Amino acid sequence: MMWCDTLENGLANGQVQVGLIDGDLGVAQALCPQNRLGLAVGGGAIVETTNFYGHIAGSGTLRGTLAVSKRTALYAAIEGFRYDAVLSPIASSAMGLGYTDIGASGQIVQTDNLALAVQGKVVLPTAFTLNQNGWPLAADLGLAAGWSPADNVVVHGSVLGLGGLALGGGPQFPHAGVHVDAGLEWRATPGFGVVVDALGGFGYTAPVDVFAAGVGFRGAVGEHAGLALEATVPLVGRERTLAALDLRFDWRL
Amino acid sequence: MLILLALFGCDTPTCLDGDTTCRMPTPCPEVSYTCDGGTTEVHVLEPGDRHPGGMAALASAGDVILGNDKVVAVIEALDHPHYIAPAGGALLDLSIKGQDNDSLRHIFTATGLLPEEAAHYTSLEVIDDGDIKAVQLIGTLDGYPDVPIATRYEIHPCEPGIRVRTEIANGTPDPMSLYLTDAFYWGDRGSLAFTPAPEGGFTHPSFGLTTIGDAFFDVPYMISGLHSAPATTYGVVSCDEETVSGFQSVYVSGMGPAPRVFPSRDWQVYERFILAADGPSISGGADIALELRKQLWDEDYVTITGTIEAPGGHVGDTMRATVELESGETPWTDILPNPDGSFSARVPAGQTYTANVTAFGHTVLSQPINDGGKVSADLDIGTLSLPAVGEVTLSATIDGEPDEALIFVVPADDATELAVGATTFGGVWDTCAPLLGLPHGGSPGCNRVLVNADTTIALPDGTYDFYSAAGPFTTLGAVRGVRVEAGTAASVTVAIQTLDLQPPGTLSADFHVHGGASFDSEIPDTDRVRAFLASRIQILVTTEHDVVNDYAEAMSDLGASARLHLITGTESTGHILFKFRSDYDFPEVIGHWIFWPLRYDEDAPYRGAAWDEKAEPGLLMTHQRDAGWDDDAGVSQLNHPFGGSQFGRDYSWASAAGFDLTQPLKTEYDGTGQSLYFHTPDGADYSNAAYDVQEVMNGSKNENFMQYRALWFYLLNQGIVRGGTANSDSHSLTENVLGTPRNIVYSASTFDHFDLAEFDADVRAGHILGTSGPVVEVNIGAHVPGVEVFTPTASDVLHVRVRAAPWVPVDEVRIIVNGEVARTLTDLPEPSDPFGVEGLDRVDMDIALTDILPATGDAWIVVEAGTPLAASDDLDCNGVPDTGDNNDDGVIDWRDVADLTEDPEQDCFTTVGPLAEPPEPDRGTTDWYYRTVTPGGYPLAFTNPLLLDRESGGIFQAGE
Repeated sequence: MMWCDTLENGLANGQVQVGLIDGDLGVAQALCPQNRLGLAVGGGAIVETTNFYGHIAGSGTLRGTLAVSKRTALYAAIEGFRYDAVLSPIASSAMGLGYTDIGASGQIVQTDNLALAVQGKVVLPTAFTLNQNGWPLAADLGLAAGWSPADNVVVHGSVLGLGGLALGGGPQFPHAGVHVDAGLEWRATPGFGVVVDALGGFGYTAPVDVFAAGVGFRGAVGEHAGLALEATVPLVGRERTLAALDLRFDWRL
Repeated sequence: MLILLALFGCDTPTCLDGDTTCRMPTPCPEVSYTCDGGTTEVHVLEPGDRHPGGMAALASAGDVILGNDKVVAVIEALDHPHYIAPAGGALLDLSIKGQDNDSLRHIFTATGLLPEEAAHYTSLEVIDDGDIKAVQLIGTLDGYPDVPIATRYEIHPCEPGIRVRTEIANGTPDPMSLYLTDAFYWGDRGSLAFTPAPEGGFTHPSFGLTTIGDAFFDVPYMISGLHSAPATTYGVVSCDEETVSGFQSVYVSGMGPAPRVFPSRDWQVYERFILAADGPSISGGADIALELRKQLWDEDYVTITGTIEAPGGHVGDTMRATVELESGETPWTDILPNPDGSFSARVPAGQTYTANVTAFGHTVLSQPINDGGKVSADLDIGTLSLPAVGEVTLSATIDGEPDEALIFVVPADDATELAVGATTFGGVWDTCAPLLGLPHGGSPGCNRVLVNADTTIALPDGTYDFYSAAGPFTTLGAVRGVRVEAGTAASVTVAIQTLDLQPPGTLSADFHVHGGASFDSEIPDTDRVRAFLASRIQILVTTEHDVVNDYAEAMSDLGASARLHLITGTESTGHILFKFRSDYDFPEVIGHWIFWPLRYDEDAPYRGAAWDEKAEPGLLMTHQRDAGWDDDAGVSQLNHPFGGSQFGRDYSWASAAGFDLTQPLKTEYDGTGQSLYFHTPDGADYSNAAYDVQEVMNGSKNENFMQYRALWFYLLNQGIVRGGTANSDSHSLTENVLGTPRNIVYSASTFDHFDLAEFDADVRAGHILGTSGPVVEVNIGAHVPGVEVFTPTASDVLHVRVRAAPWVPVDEVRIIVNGEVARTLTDLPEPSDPFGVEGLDRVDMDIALTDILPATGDAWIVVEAGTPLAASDDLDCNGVPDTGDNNDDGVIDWRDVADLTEDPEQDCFTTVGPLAEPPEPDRGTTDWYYRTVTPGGYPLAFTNPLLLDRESGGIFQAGE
């Protein structure tokens, strides 16, 4: 029996789901297709007082996945509310609808304890109050894999190519890069799990975008409800965010 | 479809992809002006080309002329940046065609307050498209090479200004806060912004650098005026939106689209019309703005006309009468009537209006227009009658002959002072009593009048005294108790007599003076030179901020060269913040430094001075030398070494460096402020310590003397000897009186046979007495004050002689040894008649050196004379006096600190100040009379040091 079949409650699975790029670009989706609907609130901050700069972003996101088959899932997320504040001598802020991403994952290899999937998503420029003239369109595509050496442990990894450009008549600023991730999920109990990840990003905004560490605490309540608190903390690289954090609640249908 | 339309905007940028051959579309296509015979021009200035003139004009060879039949603009060459901008390409001059009335300091494009948020253009293209001419600039933000920016200045025939388009995109990965703005740099004491906003007009929210966001508000347009002719009035109207957003101050205004989050990969386009109107009245600019708004937004306007009737005349003088048209609480325009009293101004149609008429700073008439009904058609409101005023014809004689003089008009009683005391423009400037003219323009300024022959002024009812002195070596001329009544005329002649006070073998000099070429001065050249002559200064160094000016035309017109030697120099005034200390997180500037002589070059950028930004003092000296400053025969001066800041820019090197006077200076550079004094910056041929002299007295009020003196003494005690100077730092007829204080330079060079090199050698040698009145002569045998070290004999005495004009109080003489007061002489004789010629001698005595010197070791002596110094203390423990006994309780503690409401319970405070001001003297005392011609000041003189080498065998080491 494939390890996905042993996931019988609302406990979330997959790598840490807190990205450092809008729309969680470069973050691989969970390998195990499930029907879930959830809400996440989270945000991140850049604090650089010596440069008189700070950026605070917060959002509330509606997320859902649809298991089309035992190997294939569709997923979507929409930032129903997004708040950005840039702190500088002349500060500004914006709030409204955020970004929307839609994607799919399809396992091309599946054994009892191994899965390999092709995944991809598109991030759509629906943040109409934030973007006023240049509309960023981005996508990622790549492979995600998981290996379960024991019933309650999954080692996962992913390699995703990223790309983006701006629409709207101005400079397009095309850019591309790659994200790699490796991590471990441990189900301490059927209703509680911990996930840790090491993430590397290259080429999208700089030769070394980021080396980051991710950590998450996941819980299940009953058969359907799941709760997760996860964070990604950049350690090295161009990325200026101090940390990104998410609190998620979802319901497994 | 809607999504696609939303994705692809209608007005897209065209020049942000690095292609320097791109073409931006015409800005503001809805705007259209027609006329007969309209023309346009665009060309690069060549050496020798005539360029548009005006008080603020700075065009030089390499800059670009862009003009039409109405206006002429100058766009800086890329390598000619000015003021706050890090690179060229900004709007430097803008004047009315053929009028030579440029009043614009600078308009540059920025996206925020930080230096790295200014546009740094790297490509400039001159475009000639037939009738339409343009200058197109492409570059990036100064600190963000991934943020492309492009600007197009365009001119059409017949139009009263420049069309401007700016495009910008955020190519960085992170969001920015974008405030795409035109930064109008006014400088201070000059153009004032006027905005039609509730409770607005000239009144704007005050702010600090951390609270500037609270000062933003949206307005339909901004107009700025100088209020004294010749002048051009400026303004801005957005072509994209019905309002512009921003902040106003006397230093700078920012006007642009409202600030917003600028996410990665987004872009912005901003189109606007920068207008120019002939003359000093706000109404000229507002008229153009309303015409533009009609074309852009179909907003109707009406024209209101009328006549000011002002018995006593002088309508057209800036303070005699101004008319504000206000709707509800929103002033829409401010009018300076024509000399015949007529006025005309546009205002938005369909509103009710009130005409508020101001005379001498007071609102004298407030009258609803159209009986309080809405004004929907052009309207003549008839005659507005003002109260009558009196008239006084002033003149002055010096030694019986008519001559240039500065007369101070002073209310003779409290009732008059209360009645005529006024401020103007929403209280921007200080109160004047009476307010005869703009405080910082030409004469009359505030309550001061330059006279030569008969000069007639209007005066409101009251009783007045008239005072004048031609520097500290004359009598105080006075005519007192003149009753001025409405409709009457009087004549006043103030007689001044020269006193035999200036020591033989000396020349009087002021090494720090500003005029209209400085960004923070608006006094016309002619009035400035007249003020030179009225002060009886013999040697004057012109030190405009960042540029050189030689006043050639005014000097020639007034025949001033026969009475005054004018030396051209400059005051380097840092604008662009940069980081130069490892122990301080914030970028700064290095304070102000003066260099002379520098040759005036009409064709050169900065008129012969060097670009003076982002350089430590040693590198600044290198740049000025490369620009032509004679470092061998010339002088470099450290100005006002401690003090505050303006718009985040320190006035003062010692404050910026953070010198701790309780610790010795570090001789090894480690990046900290304490090690900066001796540091030689990269690329410099001088260390930061290589300056020649330091200001010890600055300004007529001399309020920071204790701090400047503290640094000077601190350096002397470490064997670092620099001559001390005393300068007025005068910017106008108001605030600092030119020549007070002044330097009395002991030199073999005479006025009639003046040798600048010889004179400067004496300045560098500290052969100077600094004074705002008393004359102090000291010597030990044949040795006089200066930087020369000598060895006294055991029997030597210190000879002290103090003299002063009868109107200059000298209450004490302080003998200072190694920075401590060793003896104080008090109970000095007081002249009985402050207006007389007797009583000049105050002290003439010998003091045995053994009575004042320490038993052993080298020593230095400075002698001061004048008023007792106010008590002060050093509450932040850096060795610099910072707080006075401001609550007069005999103790200096936290209660004296203006910004503290409770005891901070610290040994060393982080918030301190201010120093105490001298008490206001009682009317009729000699101190009071002194202040009639030295407002806010107090008598003080200091000698340069006598350096006594008693033990070190030729090396001066104080205290050893």
